[in-house]
Amino acid sequence: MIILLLLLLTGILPLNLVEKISDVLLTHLTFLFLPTVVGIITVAHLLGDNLIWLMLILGASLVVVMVTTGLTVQWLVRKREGKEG
Amino acid sequence: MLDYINTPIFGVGVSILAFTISSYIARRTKIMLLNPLLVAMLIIVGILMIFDIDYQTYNLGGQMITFFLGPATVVLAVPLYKQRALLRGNLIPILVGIVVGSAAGILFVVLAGKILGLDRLLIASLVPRSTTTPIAMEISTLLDGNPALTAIFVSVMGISGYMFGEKLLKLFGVVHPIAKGIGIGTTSHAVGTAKAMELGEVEGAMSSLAIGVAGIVTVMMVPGVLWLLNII
Repeated sequence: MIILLLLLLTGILPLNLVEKISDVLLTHLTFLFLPTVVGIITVAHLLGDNLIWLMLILGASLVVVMVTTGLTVQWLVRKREGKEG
Repeated sequence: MLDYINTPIFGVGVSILAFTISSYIARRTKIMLLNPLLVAMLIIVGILMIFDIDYQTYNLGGQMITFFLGPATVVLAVPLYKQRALLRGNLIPILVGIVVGSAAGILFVVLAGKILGLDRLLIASLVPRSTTTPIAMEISTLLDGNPALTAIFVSVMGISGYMFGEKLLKLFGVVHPIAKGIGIGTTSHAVGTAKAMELGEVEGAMSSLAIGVAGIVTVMMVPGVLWLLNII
């Protein structure tokens, strides 16, 4: 991903060469994860007795990370935009 | 009929069929819990169980779909490139947000795990849950965790972020597209990014960016996390 970004930024690779294929792949991105997600059932037994605690921690950490990240970025972006506007 | 099951046609076919049905259900009902990825997974798991087909057989075709995740990850650079002006203008807010969010998440899982009395192995395996799978498994090894467990946690974070991320951000008043994208990517890596792509071009690009940055930031926190795991 980083190499492709550098190639695009330096102009070595013109955008129109990759734009079509990238649209196709990214439109179906969700579908591409399906077999991997189905694969979780094959290792689910590793979770054992702690399943409920682990799911609780994961769920709560989802809220913690998403909200702190989102609010921090929003606050700083708005502060910057406020200064300019 | 039975002969087809042992060929890749089965895995590919059943995946397309399940995803078509689940997408149709999602479009018709618009119920958040019935998201296409989750419903398609349940359909496939159901089919495998009813007909007593093992995962390896399904995965003959499944791995052909998974293969395209590689190139799909690479072309995440394209939306990012298109949004480069926005990235350049907001570099500091984006970086600070990812560092703060990643650190808050790691502190939370270590402390919560300790309070709930989980093994060090489980806690260490939880730490990299928000990064993309290859990076997460590497970090898990560095922390003496279990990479297979970490891979499960990574998937759970991805799917739950895909399902609830949008609602969660709205609930807490995060409405700026840059903030939404970075929040989703930092929390739920590439699976979340699939949702961010659905929300909009800016959200998708920012989420793609956050996958890589959150991974690097988390790797850099490894020495600190090791110290934390040892003192508590």
